[in-house]
Amino acid sequence: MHNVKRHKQTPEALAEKRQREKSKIDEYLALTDDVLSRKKKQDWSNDAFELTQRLLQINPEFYTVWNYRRNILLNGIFPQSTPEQINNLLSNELSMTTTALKANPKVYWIWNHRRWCLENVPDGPERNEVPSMEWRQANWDKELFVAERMLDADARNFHAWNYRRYVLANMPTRRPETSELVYTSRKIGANFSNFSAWHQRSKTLVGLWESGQLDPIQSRDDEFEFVSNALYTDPEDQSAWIYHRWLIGSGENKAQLEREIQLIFELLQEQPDSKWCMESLVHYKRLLLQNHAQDSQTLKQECRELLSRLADLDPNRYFRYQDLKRDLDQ
Amino acid sequence: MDNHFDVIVLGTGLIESITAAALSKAGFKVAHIDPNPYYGAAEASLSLDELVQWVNRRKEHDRSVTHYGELPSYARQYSVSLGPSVIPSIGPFISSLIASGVSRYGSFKLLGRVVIYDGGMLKDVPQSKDDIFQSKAMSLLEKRRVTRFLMFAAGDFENNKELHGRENSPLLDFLHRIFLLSEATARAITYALGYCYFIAEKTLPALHRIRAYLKASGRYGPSSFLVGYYGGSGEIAQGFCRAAAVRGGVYILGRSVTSISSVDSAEPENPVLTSDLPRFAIEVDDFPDRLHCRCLISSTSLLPGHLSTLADVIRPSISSYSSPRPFAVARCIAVVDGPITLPWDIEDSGTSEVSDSLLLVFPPGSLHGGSAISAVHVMTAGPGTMSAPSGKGILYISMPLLTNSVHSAEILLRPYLTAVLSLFPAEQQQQKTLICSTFYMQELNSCTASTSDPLVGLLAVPSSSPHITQGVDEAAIVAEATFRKAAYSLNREIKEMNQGCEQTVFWPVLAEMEEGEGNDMHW
Amino acid sequence: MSTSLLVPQHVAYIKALGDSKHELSYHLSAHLRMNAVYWGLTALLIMGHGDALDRDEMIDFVMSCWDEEAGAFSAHPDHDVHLLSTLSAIQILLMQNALNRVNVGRIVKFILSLQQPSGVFAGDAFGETDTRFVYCAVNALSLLGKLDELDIEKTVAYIRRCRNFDGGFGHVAGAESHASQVFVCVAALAILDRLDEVDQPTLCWWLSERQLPNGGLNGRPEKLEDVCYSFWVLSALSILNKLTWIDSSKLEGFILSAQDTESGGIADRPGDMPDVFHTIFGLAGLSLLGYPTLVDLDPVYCMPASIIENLGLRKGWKALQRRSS
Repeated sequence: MHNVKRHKQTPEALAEKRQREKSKIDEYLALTDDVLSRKKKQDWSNDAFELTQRLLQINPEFYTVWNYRRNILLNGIFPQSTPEQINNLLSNELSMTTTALKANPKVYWIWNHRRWCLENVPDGPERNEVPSMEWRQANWDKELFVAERMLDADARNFHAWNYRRYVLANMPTRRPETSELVYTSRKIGANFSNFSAWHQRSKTLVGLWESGQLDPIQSRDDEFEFVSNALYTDPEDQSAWIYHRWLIGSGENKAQLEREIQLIFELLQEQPDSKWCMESLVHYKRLLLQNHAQDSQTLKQECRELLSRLADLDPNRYFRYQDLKRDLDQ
Repeated sequence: MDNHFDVIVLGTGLIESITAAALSKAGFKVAHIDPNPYYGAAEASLSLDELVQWVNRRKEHDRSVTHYGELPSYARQYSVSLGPSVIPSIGPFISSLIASGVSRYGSFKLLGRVVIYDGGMLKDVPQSKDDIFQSKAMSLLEKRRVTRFLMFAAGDFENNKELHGRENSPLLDFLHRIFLLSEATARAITYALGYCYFIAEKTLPALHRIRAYLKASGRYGPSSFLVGYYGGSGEIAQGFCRAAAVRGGVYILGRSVTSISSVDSAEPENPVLTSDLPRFAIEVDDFPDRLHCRCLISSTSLLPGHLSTLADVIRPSISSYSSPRPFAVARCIAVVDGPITLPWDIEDSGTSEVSDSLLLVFPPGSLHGGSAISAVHVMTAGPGTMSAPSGKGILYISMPLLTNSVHSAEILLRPYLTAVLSLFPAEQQQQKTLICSTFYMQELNSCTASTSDPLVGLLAVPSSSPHITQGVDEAAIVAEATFRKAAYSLNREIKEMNQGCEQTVFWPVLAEMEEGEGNDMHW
Repeated sequence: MSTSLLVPQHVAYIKALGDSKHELSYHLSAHLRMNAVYWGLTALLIMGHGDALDRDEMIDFVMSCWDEEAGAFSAHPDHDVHLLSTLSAIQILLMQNALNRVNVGRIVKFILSLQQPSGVFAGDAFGETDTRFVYCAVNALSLLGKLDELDIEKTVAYIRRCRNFDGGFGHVAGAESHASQVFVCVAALAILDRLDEVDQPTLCWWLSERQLPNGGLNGRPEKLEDVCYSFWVLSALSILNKLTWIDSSKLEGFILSAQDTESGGIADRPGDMPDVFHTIFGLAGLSLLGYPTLVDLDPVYCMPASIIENLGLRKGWKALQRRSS
């Protein structure tokens, strides 16, 4: 149970609650027994299909019933249906679970069921006697819309992000990958503390760089500029710092590393108590030491001083800073 | 008709309408009278043909009002507000809207962008950390400093040493000295986040407003403000009247009050009502019977001279938030051809839908030929709030004035209208075409010192504050104070008979509490 | 709020879980029953009260969930088999020294049938994939002594694909790092002796930054703290031998503050309703932090360390020194 407040109840209130619950329990158990015994008998009827819906509305976590429902479709209903009817059934199934999803945005089984529905949408309707992809396209487009609305409601919901990635990667007509950059810009713009969006941006960029759709050098510089806005606006927010660390990577580009160290140094002067400025400076200076090994004594001394300040400022991670200091001396 | 009432309210402006609704809901018998054929008085929402009638009536006694242009087709599809304002998403006004259930009668949406006119161009005003992050106009260092200021302003600044001793210094100065903000940013914060009306407004009240608006941001979305559909203010005033009518309030519109007299309670007119002696008798045009009431609440503008010095004028203390109250407001309502869009919205079209409800702020001294001491606000409305037909837009321009002006509203505001028309891009032409425009001066009744010995049961309500962001909250505060005084004067007799009567609640709990506003925010 | 661990209350709380048939929530969570029994039994063993629940009854329950047709365990009689419940069943039987009751060959066949061409495992025949299921498969095969039947390279290759630049791991390839997935991936790699696949300095930095000023741990950057991350984050830090990189006394204080001092149990955060899931993961965290009197917990398998040692499966993890009370 997450986020359910504890409250004291008097024995009388508890007894009353139990009394009220009793009829609900009886009803729920009777429905469960009915559904599970039909499942045992391989009842693939419409009645059974309706009953699974009732049960899942009460308990969307009941994975066995989701399985049964799919089996009814596969074994009982689809064999008697035209492709058009199957498309309608699956579209209804998706609409029904949208309601369930809004109420339970973090239930694995609902997301899973939608995935199954999508994958089973038939080709069609026929155009010039050839089955078109229109049904599939319509359903996948709608799914992208639903995933995005779920992310509007909770921009960190990893189910929705995972599902969205899955839809984008598998829809019949793919979207250009660059549109994903626009999407992450919008999500980050709405709340740059949203690390999920920064993460997605890093994945999108790697794809664009590897496929040659974007010049990695120019684009990386654009990203540095983009993320520095977040660093300066709120240096206490981890998300942008983690992304910045990704951009630096192993720090092979010395000029870039030095430029970013300077930028963070200036931020530290404006905000002298910023833990993340110091933490990042230590990391990047160590990369300078490792990769470019210039003037090592001065750099080491600067790292030691920063680590001492960090140990005071951020005692939770005191021993980490001590370990890093010890590494410097070795 | 039974012509005895607990309360008669004169005028259907926002304050009077909220008060009438609250008194009705508290169980008092209310009659509500307005000489105008529409609700809302100085905050009414009118169709364009009604506006022309309003102008013509007004010309009879005010020669400075001017009107240009022909009525466009579908004039009835426009809904223009005589008192345009935005609604803070947290505050006494929205609380009243929700608690009274009136929010369910109307539709509301988030205000779109707030922009400031600076150095001859429009600039976005960052309202939150995320806006600062996205701003292209600010340097990195400036972003750090503005965020630091916003965190300061959102917190408990009262005991902050940075504020100590500087509470009354001008906000602009404070932003410069303490937060090292640039001129442009300090101006944006002062006029388009703190909504100061005049230069050199004090730091503390402005900080109070900024904190309130920062907190309001995020309740319904990124903007701190909502705007009402169908012209806004007038529609909302009417909503409160409807709430009063639902509870038995009697409405008489388009009839003037011909006389008000104080009744000598020693000789009751109606012997049946021995414990509820009426204190006032009112004659209304074309009404055969006189109306009686124990409590009379009137807008100061509708109170006859002989009573105005005898009334208890409601003036609650809300100074900690307030800008100085202007003497008058120069106003312009202009209807333009073509949808309202900002230059950069045209550039990156394709992003989510763009709002046509915008707020554009001209700081004092920002426009050549404009005012050097007053900020000027331009609010826009259009089909997005069902205030104009598709493809048309409404501009509301307002300039608060501290003293009587020798110039007409048109002379004061014409430069702003010209500037705005060229700032909002049109599709083919260089600037938007004007369909019609109206200029007028709204004078605000100065609160005359009320008498130390007011007539029992006679309450006068000042005209609503014209402040574009603070006005409705002040209206709700004045309405609550009026309600309390009225309820006190009405309950006094009862209380004498029935000891231990509790203080009346402003809004009793609704049977079915639901937040009805913002239907368009769901999906 | 309490500053010490209320062992008797927690034991009573877990014992009472089986007697809550008058509560709707008991029935609504039937699909988690096998996992709940595993969580409850492990929690009791960690507190040194392994005998608080009836052994025969528990084994009978587990065996009643055996599906002869599928060759695996479901979470509840008449429910469908799943990898999650199958691992829990194996863990329970092992802790009750009753693993001889199962048909190892059939279970191994079931587990291996769920591996996909990419190397990931599905949870059941309907094919939901997740690194959780990779861990379940690796863990179960290892407990059954059948790791040699697994295509280890293929399995590791999938885990590698789920590794992100922040050192963490996600649910599937491409997904954001999440502390619970860091645990399942790091523990699976530990079982497979492939911790060389982990970018240890980066991951340990990321894990240490999960601790918030109030001492609690979150699962991802800029999220709220939750007691269950006490295990996900700590187990990974312990496997990578970096438990000192967070403030253990503040975390201990946070877990203890989430106890229900009256009816026992631990909640996700102070003031919330307790449940057996947060109770075991809170206790597991406390055990790794060296809380006095608790039994050592193996962070790789999330079972009492002595049982894993007896199987010869102990890896090179380190917990904090157990303090004497």
